[in-house]
Amino acid sequence: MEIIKEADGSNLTVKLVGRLDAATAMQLDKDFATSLKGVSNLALDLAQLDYVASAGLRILLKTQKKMDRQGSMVIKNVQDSVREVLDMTGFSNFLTLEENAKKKLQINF
Amino acid sequence: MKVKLDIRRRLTLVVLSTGLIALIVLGGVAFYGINGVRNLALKSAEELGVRSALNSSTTIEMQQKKELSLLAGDKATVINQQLSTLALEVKKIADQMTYIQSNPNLFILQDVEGSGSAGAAFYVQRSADAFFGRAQLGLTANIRDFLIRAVETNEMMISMSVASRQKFTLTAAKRSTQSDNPPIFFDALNADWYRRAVKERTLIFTDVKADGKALEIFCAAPYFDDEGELAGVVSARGSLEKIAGIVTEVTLRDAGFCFLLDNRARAIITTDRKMPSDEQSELAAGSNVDLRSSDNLALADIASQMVDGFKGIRSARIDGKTYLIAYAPVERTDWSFAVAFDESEVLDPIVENAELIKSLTQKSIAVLDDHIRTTMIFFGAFIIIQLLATAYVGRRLADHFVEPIEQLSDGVREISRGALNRKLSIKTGDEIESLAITFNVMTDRLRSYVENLKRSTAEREHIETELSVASNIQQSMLPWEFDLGRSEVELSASMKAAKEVGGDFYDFYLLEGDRLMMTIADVSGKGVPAALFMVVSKTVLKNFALTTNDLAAAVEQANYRLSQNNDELMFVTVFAAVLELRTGRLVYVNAGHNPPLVRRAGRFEYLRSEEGVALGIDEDQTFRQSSITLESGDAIFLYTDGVTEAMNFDGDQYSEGRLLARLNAIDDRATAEEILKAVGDDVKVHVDGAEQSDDITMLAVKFNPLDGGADKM
Repeated sequence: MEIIKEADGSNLTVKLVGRLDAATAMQLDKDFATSLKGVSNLALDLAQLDYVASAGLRILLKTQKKMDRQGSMVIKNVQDSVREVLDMTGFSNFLTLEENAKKKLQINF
Repeated sequence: MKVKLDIRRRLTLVVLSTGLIALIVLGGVAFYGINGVRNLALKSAEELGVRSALNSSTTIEMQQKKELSLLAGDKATVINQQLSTLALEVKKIADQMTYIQSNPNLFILQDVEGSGSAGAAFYVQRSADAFFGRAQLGLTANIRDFLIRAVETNEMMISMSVASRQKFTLTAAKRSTQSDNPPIFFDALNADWYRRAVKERTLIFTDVKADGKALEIFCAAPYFDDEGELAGVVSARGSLEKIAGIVTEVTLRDAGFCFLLDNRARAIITTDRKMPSDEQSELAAGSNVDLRSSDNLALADIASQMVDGFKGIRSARIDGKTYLIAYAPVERTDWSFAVAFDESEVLDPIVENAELIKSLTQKSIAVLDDHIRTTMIFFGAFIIIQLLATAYVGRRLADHFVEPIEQLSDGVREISRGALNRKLSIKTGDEIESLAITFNVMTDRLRSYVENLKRSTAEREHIETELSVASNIQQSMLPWEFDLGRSEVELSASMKAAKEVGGDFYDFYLLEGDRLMMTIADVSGKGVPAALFMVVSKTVLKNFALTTNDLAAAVEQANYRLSQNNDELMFVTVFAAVLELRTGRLVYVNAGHNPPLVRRAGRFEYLRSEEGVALGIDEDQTFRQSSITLESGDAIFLYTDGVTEAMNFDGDQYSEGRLLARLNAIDDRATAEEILKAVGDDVKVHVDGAEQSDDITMLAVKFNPLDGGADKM
């Protein structure tokens, strides 16, 4: 999987290209551990993300939780196959998806 | 071994060839130089020899000529002196006689009778026709003592006479053993010396006369009376014995001779010499031949020179032999004295000298050659010794270099056999030592690396062992006894983890009231964390399922429990269902899991339900349960996404569509196990050997109520 980042001040856009499976999820986790410092608005562009595994879902959720504390996060351009997984597992309820940003449920951890 | 020898040989060769080249160059230069010096020395020695021979020949010749000339001059002077002394005596007596005749009154008349002295006899002789008076005789007799003394004192003198014009003669004669007979001079006035003295009115010398063997000469001088008229002649008869002695005493080593010429170039005295034959010598004394008219032109020329009073040295052939002739005048009598010396004898020393010099030169050349040869031999020997030494040193040097290399290679060989504790100890202080040190460092690192590797291998083996144990534990946690002792249901399940331990699990067990609880779940992630969470999830779910009658409540409680302290945000998707075996009613809750497939009326369909959320995310999450009713022969197929998302090499997923199609292609009478196997085989065909990326878990339940029990419901 390829991680493409575009920073603009405290705004960061991250494009994920390929498959977000167990191995690449760890890579992304590591990346976000440092690259999200000082970022208040994170946009995840999943237009080219073909697949997401349960481990990937976990990182998305973890990132969402982290960004909710220091600003905001929005996930854009989710492909249908990925969207199905998000819906099936109920994760779309906890992630800020662009088209249903307002429908988002509040998560209480 | 080959390499070692090569290095040794190469080093030896390098040292040897360097030495050899140096020696060859040095040797070449030295040989060239020595040879050049030798040639130069030989050439100059020869040249020196020739030149010095020439020089010394000239010198010797000049020396010889000079010596001959000196000899001739000396002898001529001595002879001249003798003759001059004789002449002086005659002159003195003649002067005395003239004085007596001029001053008769100063003298008394002496008695002429009486004998002479011990050394000389005295005679008075008168001619028969003498006409002298007594007075004249008495007056003349005054000379008697002078005569006697002159004869006694002069070596040459035989006798001395005063011959008066008045025909009487007074004579003093040296006493000799031969004869005491006085020479008779009655006819003194007719003697040639008298006539010549009268005629020439001065002192004269006569020719040499031979009286037997003895040679004689007369010296005469006139005396005068008071009127200046000739009164008589004083004569001395001189022996040439003394002069002959002088001539013959010249020793010429039989290589030469002397001769005395008179004023008309006649040989007076010639040294006796051995003639080759009885021939008359050209220079025979007393032969009365004027040599100036000799046929021997060289001799005639020399004779002219001699008579003319010259001094010189000439070469002439006399009696068939070439002589070098040095001559000098005897002024008193216009004679000339000559010394002749065999020219070959003169030149012999020159030739000898030349030969001596030549032989000396040859000898010195030989010595020089010998020296050079010795030097060459020494030099050659030196070169050979030097070469041997160089070879030895080269060999030693090679050993010196190669030995540590051998040590190094031996050590390396040992190390390569695994003796990593082996330390190389090479103290050469050069690159080899630093190589050895580097090698030691490398060995140390290698050893620690090997130790690390061993340790980590051991650790990994340990972990693998643990994982394998964990895998066994996990497998054993999943129910594997599918025969629950209830004929209403037929069960089959499988879990194939992608790693040793997986995050998927299935579960089934009977609850109170003939109810079958079946669960399939997928924990986020894989491996040990997933496995741990799976164990917890399974345990918690079972715990609440067993204690709570309401399925949704049990799931909610499990969710609450799993969400507690879940900092890692682990979650698990679960499909849980309870089948009432007596009624066929199936109550189910889907917590974010893949929709299962249910076969009703012979067809499998996805069991879509309310959207549920995975467990462990939100502790306050509520779940809703749904229900359907199964008929006999219906079936339910539970699976995880490892089935539908199984990928081949092209990245194509197995997909829900293919799963549905495959299940529907299965015969209705197929057992649960056969259903599982059919799907599993189809997935295997799809992935076609690609690596399994996710756990594959399936659970199939076939509902077969006894005697159509379900129909009664």
